[in-house]
Amino acid sequence: MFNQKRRGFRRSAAALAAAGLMIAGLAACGSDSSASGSSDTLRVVLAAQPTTLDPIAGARSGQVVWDTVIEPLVHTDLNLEPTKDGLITDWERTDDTTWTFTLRDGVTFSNGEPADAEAAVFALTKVRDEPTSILKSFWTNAESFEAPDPTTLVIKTKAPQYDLVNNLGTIYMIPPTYYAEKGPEGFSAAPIGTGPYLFDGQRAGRDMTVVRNPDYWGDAAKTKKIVYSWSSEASQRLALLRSGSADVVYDLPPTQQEEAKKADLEVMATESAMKIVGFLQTDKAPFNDADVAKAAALAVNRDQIVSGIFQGAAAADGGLLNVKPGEQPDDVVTQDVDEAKSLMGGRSVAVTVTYPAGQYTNIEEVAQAVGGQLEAVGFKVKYNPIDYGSLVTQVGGGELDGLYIFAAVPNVAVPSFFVNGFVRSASITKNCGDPKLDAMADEAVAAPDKEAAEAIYDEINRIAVVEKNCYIPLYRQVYAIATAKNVSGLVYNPINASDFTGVTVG
Amino acid sequence: MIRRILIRVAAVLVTLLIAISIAFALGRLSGDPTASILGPMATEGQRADLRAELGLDQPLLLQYFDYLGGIFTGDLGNSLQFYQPNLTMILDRVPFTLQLVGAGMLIAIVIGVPLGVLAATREGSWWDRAASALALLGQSIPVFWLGMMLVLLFAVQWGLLPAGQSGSVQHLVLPALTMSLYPMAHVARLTRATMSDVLREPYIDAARARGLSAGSIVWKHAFKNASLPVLTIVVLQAGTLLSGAVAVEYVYAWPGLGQLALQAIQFRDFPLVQAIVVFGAITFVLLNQLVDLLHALIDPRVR
Repeated sequence: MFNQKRRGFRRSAAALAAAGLMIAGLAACGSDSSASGSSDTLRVVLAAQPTTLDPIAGARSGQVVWDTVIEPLVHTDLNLEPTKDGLITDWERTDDTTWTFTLRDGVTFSNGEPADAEAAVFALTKVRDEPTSILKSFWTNAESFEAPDPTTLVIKTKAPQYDLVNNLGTIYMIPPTYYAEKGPEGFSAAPIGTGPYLFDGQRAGRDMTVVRNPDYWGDAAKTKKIVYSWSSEASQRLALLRSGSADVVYDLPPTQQEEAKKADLEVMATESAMKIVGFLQTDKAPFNDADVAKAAALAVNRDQIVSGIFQGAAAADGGLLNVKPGEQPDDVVTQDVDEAKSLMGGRSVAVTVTYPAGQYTNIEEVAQAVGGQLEAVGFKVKYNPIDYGSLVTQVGGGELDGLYIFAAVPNVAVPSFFVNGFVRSASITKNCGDPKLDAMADEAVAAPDKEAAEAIYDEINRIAVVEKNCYIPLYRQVYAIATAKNVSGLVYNPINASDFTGVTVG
Repeated sequence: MIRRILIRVAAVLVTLLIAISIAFALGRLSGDPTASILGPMATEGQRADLRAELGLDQPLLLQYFDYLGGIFTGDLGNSLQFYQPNLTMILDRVPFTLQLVGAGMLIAIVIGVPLGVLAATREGSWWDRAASALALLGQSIPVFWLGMMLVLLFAVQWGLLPAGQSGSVQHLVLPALTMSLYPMAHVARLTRATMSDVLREPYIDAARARGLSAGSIVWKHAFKNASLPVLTIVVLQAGTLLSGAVAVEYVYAWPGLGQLALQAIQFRDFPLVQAIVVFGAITFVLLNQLVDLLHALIDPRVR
C-alpha cells in the first residue's frame, strides 16, 4: 500500500513537474538577447503594434518603424518645410500645372534596384490608384507622372497646385520589382528601402528590428540596431522604461509624464500638428441660426479646458488653418459669456455634443467641459459618445447635427489639407458649405506660391471660424516621449515622425 | 452508443454554428471598417471602392455563406489591418496564451488544492479561516490592479523581474502569478467544500477505524473522490482563462491572443475578431468534451 501511495504521489508530482517544464521550455524558446540593453541597441516601446509596414496602405502607427527603412521622396525640416537634402534634390515649377523634380543620382534600394525616377513614378501611381491607399484622396489632382530620364520626375496636375512639393513628403520610395513580386503583404513582412536602416525581421506580436544600413547614401546611423516593441497601457510603458527594459517610450499621457519627470527620466513634449476641433453643423438646427452658432463659439473657453484638463500637456489653439504648431491666426474667437447669453436671448436651445469615446487623450473630459460651458450660456446639452469608426461614417454621411468633436490630423502641413477636408462644400464634414469659400479655396491653391496663398487662407480661416462660427478650435495635442538618461539625439517632429539616425545610447 | 456519439457531435456542431453566426452578426453590427482603414479624410467614393474590394457591398446572406464556406475549408479570412491571414496570426499568438494559461493554472492547482485540503481537514481552525479569506481575496482583487501592483513592486521598485513583454521564463512569472489568482481561489474554495463533504462520508470513518494514516485517508481515499468537481472546474477554468487572458496580456504587453483581440476590436478588424471568436468557441467546445471524457475515465458511473 505504501508503495502504491508513493507511486500515486510520484505520478502527480511528475505530471505537475512535466507541465511546469513544458511551460518553462515554451517560454525559454522565445528568449533572446534583445531584451537586455546595450550601447549598440536602442529599445523603443510604442503605444500600438504597427499594423503594416506597407507605406501605401499603412496607417500612421507603422511610420515610426518604416521611416527608418523607407524614405519619402522629399525630406522636411522640423518646421515641416520641404528641404532639398533627401531623395529629391531640386524642383522647378515649369508651368502652372507642371513640376519637374531632380532625383539624387546613384541611390539604390538595399536589394540593388535603382531608386530612380521610374521608382518614384511607381510609388506615386500606387498611392493615387490603389483602393486601399490611405493618401489616395490627396492625389486626385494628379494628371500624370513621368520619368523622362533616371534622375528626372515630371508631375502634371489637372489644376494648378502650389503645394505639390509638400505632398511629396508623404510618398515613400519603394522598389518596384520587389513590391510587384511580393505584393503589399509580402512587402510589409520584409520592407526594403533606401533608408539609414535595413529591416532585420519581426517576431509575430512581439517586436520588429532594424539594423544600420552600411551602404546608406547619407550619414550612417549612430546606433547599430533598433528593436521596436509595443504596449497599449501607458503605465506599463513607463514601467518598462523605469525598470530598465526600454530606452525610449512613446505616447505618454499627462499623468505618466509627471511620473516620468519625478523618476528623473527625460521627457520630450512636442506640440503636434494634431488639432482637436469642435465642428458645428451649420446647415442643420440648431446651428443654422447664426446667432446660436456664434453664442456657442463665444461660450467656449479653450484656455480653461487646456489648463484644467491637460495641465499644460496640450496647447490652446484658436484657428483651423494654422497647420504648423506654434502658429496662431490674427483673428480668433475668445470667450464672452455675456455676449453669448445675449445672443441666446433667454432661449434654451437643445444641442447634441458628439465625440469619439476613448479615441483621444481625455476626450471624455473635454466633451464634458465644452458641454458645461455651452450649458452656462443657455444650451441644453445631450452627450453622444460613439466609437471613432461610427463617427467618421456619420460625419461623412452627413448624419450628425449639433456639435461634434473630431481631430484634424494633417499628413501634410499645408492649409489646403484642412480646407479640402473640412471647409469646401464637398469636404468630408460638409458643415460649412459656402460657394464663396470654395472659390477662395480654388484661388488659394492656384496661387503662384506659398506667400500668395497664405493671405487667402487667413481670410478663409477668418470667415469660417470667426465670422460664420462653423468651427470651434480647441487645442493641439502635445505628444510626449520619455527616454532613459543615457539616450540622446532623438529628433521628433510634429507630424509624429522620428529621426533615429543621431541617437546614441551612452 | 453510436446514437449517443451522433447526438454529441450534432450538439457540438450546433453550438459552433451559433457561435460562428453570432461572431458574424457582431462583426457586421460593429459598423463600417473602411473608416478605420482609410482614415477620416477619404471620400465616400473611395470608401465605396474599398467596400466593394472587401466584398462588403454584397448582400449579407451571401457574405454569411462565403464566411461559413471559408471556415469549413480552414480559411478564416485576412486581417484588415495587418494584411495577413487570420489563421496564421492566431497560430502565432496561441503558444503565448497557452504558456500564460498553463503556467497560471499550474500555480492555481499547486497552491489552490493544498490550500483547500488544508482548510477542509482543519475546519473551523484559523487555517480554515485564513484559507477562506485568501480565497475570497483572490476572487475579489481586480486582475488589472494586481498586475500593475506586481509590476511596480517586483520590476520598478526591486528590479527582480521584467515589467512585462515576453522573451524568457522570468517574463512569465508575474503574468502567470496574476493569472493564477482567480482560479487559485476558485480551486481552493471548491476543494475545501467537496473535501469537507467527502470527509464526512461513512467510508472515511471506516478507513480511520482500520487505522490508516491521516495522509492516506486525505489524499488517497478522500481527495480521489473529491477531485472530480475540482478537475471539472480546472478544465473549465482553463477555458475561461483563455478569455480572461485579455486583461493580463494587456497589463503585461504579453503577445497572446488577448492582445490581438483587443487590437482587432479597436481597429474594427472584424474578420480578425470573428476568427478569434471562432477559434475560442472551438477551443471551449473541445475543452467541454475533454471534461466529459475525463469524467468517464475517473468515474465509472459516468461511462
